[in-house]
Amino acid sequence: MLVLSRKSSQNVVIDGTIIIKVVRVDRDVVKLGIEAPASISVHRQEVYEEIERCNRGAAQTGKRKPPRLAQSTTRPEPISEDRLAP
Amino acid sequence: MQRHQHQLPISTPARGTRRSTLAFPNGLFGFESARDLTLVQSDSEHPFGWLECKGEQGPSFLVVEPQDVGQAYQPEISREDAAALGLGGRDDTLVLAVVTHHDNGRLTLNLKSPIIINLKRGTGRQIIPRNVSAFTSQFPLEIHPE
Repeated sequence: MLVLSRKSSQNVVIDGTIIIKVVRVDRDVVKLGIEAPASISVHRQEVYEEIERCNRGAAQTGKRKPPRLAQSTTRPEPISEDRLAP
Repeated sequence: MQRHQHQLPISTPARGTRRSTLAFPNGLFGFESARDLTLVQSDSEHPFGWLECKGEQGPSFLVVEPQDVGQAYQPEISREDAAALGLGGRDDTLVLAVVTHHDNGRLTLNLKSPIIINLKRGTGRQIIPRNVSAFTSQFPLEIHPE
């Protein structure tokens, strides 16, 4: 891992296209600005971790039958077969 | 070039069951190698469906369309995700949320990373919408009181 020290308003450039700007340093909080091509998604690490954790928790090896939902919850019509393309 | 076959609904012993073969080039978050999935939808299980990963040990995911459980769910799909999926009109787009069936019987929806399927092409992707911070990964579904 490359470790760099930056002061407020100093930048880091990744792969010549992604710019990380140190916008502000305030005690123990660093405000970062990220400029990246639209093809690169940028999210807080916790978001990825939470989603992976959620998928892992949802993954089933046996298909456990889900309980019935409350009346107010479900829409009455089953999924129409026409929705699937021929 | 391999064509992604979008399978016709086939008749099975269970009435009103539809199986769709789907290609997920990026798999799912945490399951990146799960590239060949089958979406199984039975009228008897409505609104639930199953997204099955290929192989005996392949996990299955309980899924639901958020609109089928009364959710006015508007994830903002990034331009890149939309382009990767080749999304056209809304009629070709299926939005699914993964359901966690907790040990205590509770059901929660993951609205933070929906699964977007292009029905015409038979391809899908799990995405992080641009407005991800507006959603929770544990949205509770109300169970029918017994």
